[in-house]
Amino acid sequence: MSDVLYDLDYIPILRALSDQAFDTKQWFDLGAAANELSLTDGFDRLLSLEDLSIQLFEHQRKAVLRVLREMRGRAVLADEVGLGKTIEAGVILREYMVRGLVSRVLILVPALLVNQWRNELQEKFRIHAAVAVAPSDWQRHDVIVASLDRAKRSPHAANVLAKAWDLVIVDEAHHLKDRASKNWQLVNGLKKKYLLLLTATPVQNDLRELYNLITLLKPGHLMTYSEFCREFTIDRHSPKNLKLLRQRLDEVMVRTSRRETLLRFPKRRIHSWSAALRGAERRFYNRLVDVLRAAYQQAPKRERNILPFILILRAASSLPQAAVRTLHSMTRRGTLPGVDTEHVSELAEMATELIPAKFTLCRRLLREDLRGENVIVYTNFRSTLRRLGDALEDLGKEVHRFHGGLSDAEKASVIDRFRRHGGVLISTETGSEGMNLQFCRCLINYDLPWNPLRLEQRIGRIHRLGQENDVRIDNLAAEGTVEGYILYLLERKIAMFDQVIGELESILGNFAGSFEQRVVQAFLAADDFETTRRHMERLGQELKAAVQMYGRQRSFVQQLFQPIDV
Amino acid sequence: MTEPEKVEHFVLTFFAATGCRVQRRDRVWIAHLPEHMAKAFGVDERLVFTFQPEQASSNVEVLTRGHRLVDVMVQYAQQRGRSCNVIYLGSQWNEIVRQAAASDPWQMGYRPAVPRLVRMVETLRSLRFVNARQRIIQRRVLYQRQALFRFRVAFCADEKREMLYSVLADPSTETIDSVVDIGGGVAMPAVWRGKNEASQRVQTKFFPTPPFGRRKNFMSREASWQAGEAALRQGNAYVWLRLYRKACEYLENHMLTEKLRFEAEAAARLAAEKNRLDAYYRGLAAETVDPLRRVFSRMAAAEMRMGWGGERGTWETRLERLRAEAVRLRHQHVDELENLAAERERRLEELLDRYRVKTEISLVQVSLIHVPRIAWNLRLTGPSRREVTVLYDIIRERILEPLCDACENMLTGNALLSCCGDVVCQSCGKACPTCGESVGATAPREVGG
Repeated sequence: MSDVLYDLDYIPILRALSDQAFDTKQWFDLGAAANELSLTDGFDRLLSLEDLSIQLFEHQRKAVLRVLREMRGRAVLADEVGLGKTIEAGVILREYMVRGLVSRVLILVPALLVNQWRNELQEKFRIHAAVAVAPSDWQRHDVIVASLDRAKRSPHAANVLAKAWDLVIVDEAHHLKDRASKNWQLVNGLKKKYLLLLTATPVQNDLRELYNLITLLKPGHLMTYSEFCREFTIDRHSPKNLKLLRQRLDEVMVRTSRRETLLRFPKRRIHSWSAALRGAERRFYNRLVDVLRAAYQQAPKRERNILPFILILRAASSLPQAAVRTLHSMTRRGTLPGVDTEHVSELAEMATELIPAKFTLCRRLLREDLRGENVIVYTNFRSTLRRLGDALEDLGKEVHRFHGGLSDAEKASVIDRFRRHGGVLISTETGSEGMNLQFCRCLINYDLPWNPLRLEQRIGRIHRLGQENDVRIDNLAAEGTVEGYILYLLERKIAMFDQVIGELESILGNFAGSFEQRVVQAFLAADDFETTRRHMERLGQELKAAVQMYGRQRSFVQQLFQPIDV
Repeated sequence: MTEPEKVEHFVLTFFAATGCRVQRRDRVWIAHLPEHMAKAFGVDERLVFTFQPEQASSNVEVLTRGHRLVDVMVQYAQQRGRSCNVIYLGSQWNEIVRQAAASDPWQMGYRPAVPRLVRMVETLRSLRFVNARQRIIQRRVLYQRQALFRFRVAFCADEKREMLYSVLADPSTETIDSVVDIGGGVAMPAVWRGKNEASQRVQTKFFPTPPFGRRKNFMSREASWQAGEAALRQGNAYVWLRLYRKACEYLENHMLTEKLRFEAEAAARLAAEKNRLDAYYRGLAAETVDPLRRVFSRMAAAEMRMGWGGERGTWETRLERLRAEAVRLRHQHVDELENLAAERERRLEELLDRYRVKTEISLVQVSLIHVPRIAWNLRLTGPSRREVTVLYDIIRERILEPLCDACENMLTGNALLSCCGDVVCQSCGKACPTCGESVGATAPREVGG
C-alpha cells in the first residue's frame, strides 16, 4: 500500500473560486495545455536539457538516458578521460531534482576538485551546492560537495553516515577500489537511494578493484568474491569468461571510448619560453634562495612547514617586490623562523626598481607573436596583475582585469567586454575555473600554477569541446628557478602537454605526495645547482614511473572493455 | 496532434494571449515580445523560431518541450490559468437550448432536425406515465453550476509517472458527474476579477522562473484537509472545500487501476533486487562457515592420527589447539553472521526506500461550469393529480428528474401515479408508498398537453 499525498496548493485555488476571482477561458485553456505539456512519463525525455547553458554530445545524452532508464540511478560512469563524465553526472542529478525524486545530495570528490564541482554545479546546472567544512554542515545543507578525505574523518564521518541521502556521487571513484580502506567503508555505509561512481579507470590492474566498485553499487551483482573469482578470474590480473563478465558490467557501467564519439578536439600548440635572469634580478633570486634554504635546512625536520616557502618562491618567480612584501609580513608574524628583518631589508633594497625578465618577454610576445590575437594572461598574484596591466596598456592593448576582488556582476561584465572588444584579459587564478572562454584561442601562463591540475584547468578554459580553432599556449618561466624546474618536469618527464585532457589526474594519482610540495622540498634541500639538478632528475624518474604505471593501467582497462567499445 | 503541433498550438496561443505580434515567413516564425516579457523570460525582444527541428539554423531556434522559453511559458500558464467560469453559450448552444426549451418532446408530431434534439426526444419519450394523462404547464431553461476539478497525479518510486485527471462535481447534490467537454463553453464573466487590485497585479505580472518551479508542499489527505478547513473557514469557501473532498475521494478510486499498475511494476523491480541481495548474503553467510569447516577437518585428521598411535602427546596438544581455534572461529562466525544480517537489513531498507511508491496529488485547475438544463413542469391526471418536473441535461443527454418517490431512483421506462399522488417506478408500483393500496395501470395514457 502506497502513501497518497496531497499538495496544499489547492487552498488558493479554492479561495479564488470562492472569491469569484476567475481568469479568462483563454488562459484557462492555456493552463490546461501547459499542464499537459509538462507531464512526465518516466524518463521519456531529459527535462533539463535545453534549459541549461550546456549542450550534451550524443554519447553523453545516451549515457544519461541509460543511467536513468536502465540502471535506475546506480551506475559507474566510466567514460574515457575528457568525454565529460562530470557533465553527465550533473544532468542526471538535475533530472532527478527536476522530477522531485532527489533533494539530499552528497558529492564526494578529491579535495582539489571541491571548488570546481561547486562552481560547475552552479554555473552549468544552476544547482546551489554548499561545501562542507564544519561538522554541522552535513545536516544544514541539502546539496553538499565535500572532499572524500574530509568526509571519512572524525567527527565528520558520523554526521555523514547519520543522514539519509537521495543521491551520492563519487568522483574519481577508483579511490574506492580497496574494500578495507576508509573510503570504501564510508561509501558502503552511507544510506543512499541512487549512487553514481565516476572514474575513467574502474580497474587499474587488479580485478578485485572492479569487484569492490561494483559491490558498492549493487551488492551481489558479481556474486560473492569467491564466486566471482571462480567464475571470472584466472588470477587477480587475468579475467576469464570475458563475454559474460562484460555483459554483467554492461548492466551497471557506462563506458564510451574516444573512438566511438568521433569528437574532434582542437590541437594544442605549446610554446615554452625560458626567461634568463640577469644582473640584479639573478642576484636577488640567488640571495633569496640562499636565505630560504638556510631557514629550511636549519629547521628540525619534523617542524618544517613547506607552505610559506612555496608562497615566497612563487611570488619571487612572479614579481620580486611581491616576494619581499610576503617575506616581510611573514617575518613580522614569525611564520618563517630563520629569516630576520635584516635579510628582508637587504632583499627589499635589491628588489627596488627591478623589472622581471618575464615582464619583458610577455610584452614582446604580445607585441610580436600574438599581435592581433585576443589573449588571456594568467598570473598568480594580484600585484603582478596590476603592474602587468599597466605595462600592457602602454603597448596600446585594451586590457581587461579579472580577479577575486570583483563582484559576480563585475566579473561577468569584464568577460562580456573581453568577448565583445577583444584585447588582453589578465586574470588571477580566480579565472581558471568554471568559465568558458573558447571564443579566445591564445593563453599565456605568465606564472605557472605549480599544481599541474590547475594548469590543466587554465588550459581547459579555451581548449575544450566547442573550440573551433587550434589553441596556442605560451608558458613563461624564469631560468634556474623552481618554476623553471616545474616546467621542465611537466614537459620532459610527464609530457603533460601531449596528454589527453584528464589523463594528468590519473598520472599524478600514481605519484606519491603533492607534486608542488615535493618539487619545492627537493629544491630547498639542495645546496647548489648540481644537487638541485640531481634531486630534480630523481623526481623526474618517479614521474616517469607514474606515467608508465598509468599506461599499464590503461591497457588493462582497454583489454577488459575493448570489445564493448567496438 | 503530434508533439511539435501541440507545442506550436500552445506557443502561438500564448503569444496571442499576451499580445505579442507574430508573423510567419515560410516555415519560420518571428515574434516581437513586449520588453517586460522578454526581460522576464530572458530572451530577445525579437525571436525567430520554428517548431520543426529540420528548419533550425544558427539564428532560428527550435521550440520544443524542454526548451527554456517553452518551459517558462508553461510555468507561467500553469500559474496564471488556474480557475475560470464557463457557461454554455454561443451561437451553437444558444440555438439548441432555445429549440429544446420551446419543444414539446412528447407530442408525436414533433420531429426535430438537430441530432442532439432527436436523441433528447427519444430519451424523454422512453419515460411514460402509464396510468395518467400528462400536460405541460411550464417550460424553463436552468443553468446549474458544477465544478470541474483538474488534478495532476504523480506516481513516484524510483521513477516518476504523471497524469492528469478531471473530476466534475455537482454542488447541489455533492455527487460526481460525468465530465463534459468545456471546449464549447465561454468564460463568464469574460474578464479577470481579482479580489482586490493588488492580487490582480500579482497575477498579471510576468514572473521570473524559479530554478525548478514551485516547491510543492505535500502532506497526507487528512492533514491537507485540516489545513484547508483552517484556511477556508470564511464565506462560502467551505462549500467548495467539501466538494473538493468529494472529488478527491472519487479520484482515489478512479486512479486505482493506474496506481496498482505502477505499484506492480515497482514491486517487480524491487523483487528482482531483493532476490539478488538475498542470494548475495546467503552466499556470504555460507562462506563464513569455511574457516570453521577447515578446522573441523583438521581436527578429524588429528583425531585419526591420534587413534593410529605413535606420538600421542603431540597430537593431543595439536587437537587441543584446534579445539580452541574452533571455539574462537565459532564466535567469529556468529559475529560475522550478525554483521551480515545487520548489513543486509540496511541494504534492504535502502531498497525499500528507493521503491516505496508515493502518489502525489495536486489540484492544478478548477472551473465553474454553468450547464444548461431544460425543465418541463407536467401536470399528471390519473388515480390522483400531481405536478412533476422533468429535468433534462442537454449536454450529457440524460434525464435528471423526476425520481421515484419510493426508491428514489431515476424514473425510467414505465412509471405510475399512485392514488395518493406519488410517482413510482414499475418495480415499486405494486403498492402505493403512502397508503399501501395497489397501483395499477388503470387510467388511459395521454401524451402531450
